[in-house]
Amino acid sequence: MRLLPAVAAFALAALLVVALAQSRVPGKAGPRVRPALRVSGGLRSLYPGARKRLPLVVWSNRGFRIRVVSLRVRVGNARRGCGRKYLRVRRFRRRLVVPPHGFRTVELPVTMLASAPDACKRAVFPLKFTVGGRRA
Amino acid sequence: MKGLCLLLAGAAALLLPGHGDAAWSVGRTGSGAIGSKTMPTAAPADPSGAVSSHDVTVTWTASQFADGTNVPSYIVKRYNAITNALQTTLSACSGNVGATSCVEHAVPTGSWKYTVTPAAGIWRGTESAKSATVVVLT
Repeated sequence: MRLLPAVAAFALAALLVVALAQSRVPGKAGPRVRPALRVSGGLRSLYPGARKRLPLVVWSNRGFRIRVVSLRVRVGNARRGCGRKYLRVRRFRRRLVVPPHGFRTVELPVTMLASAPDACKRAVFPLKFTVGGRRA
Repeated sequence: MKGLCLLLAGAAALLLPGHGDAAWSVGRTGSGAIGSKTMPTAAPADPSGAVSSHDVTVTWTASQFADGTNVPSYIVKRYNAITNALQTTLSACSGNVGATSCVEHAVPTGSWKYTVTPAAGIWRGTESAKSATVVVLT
């Protein structure tokens, strides 16, 4: 019976170590969980002053409806002299519910500033999407 | 003993990643790209001018990007037909013209030639050849 507190303390310490390891090295410790939502999309026809719509597809790989609560588009620099400042992508501000194992499309207004220099000709701006959802 | 077990269970529930957050997906969950066009390299056909008193109607054909869509605007320039000196283009042909024709008002008496240059924002295409001479009489 005297051994029990020691075993409990040891178990607690082990739990702490595992939890810390998983929080510091995401994806490396424990099984990799597929994200519930995935976003893809792009556009290739911009020029200075152009206002277009960026079509995005939000996919769900879960068996229940998911309400998208946030969708962020991070624009990267295209190349030297053609930074992301020349591109404006409007924020996502609408209700969107993705069906189970399905997808929904959404369009975000995007503008290339009229001041975009020649360095932005035939440029490619990389996009990173961050999406958050909750069970509908 | 019972308390200890409860403590351990509570700690496990708090510290270990559970499945309750499976409905949430916050993080980098996709990538894409936005590409841009470039201006057409071919010069547009030379414009034509029609005089009516001191108004000159300048007309030209549209230029296209490589994907076949029209260039959004043009810069219209007027040159002295004899000296080739560039003149200040007057309204309504000054600045970026978003059509394939414009009427330059109050053009001074003289002989003039016009060119058009495709434009998108501050991007510029190739300037066209000069138009035939347009004569504005007194």
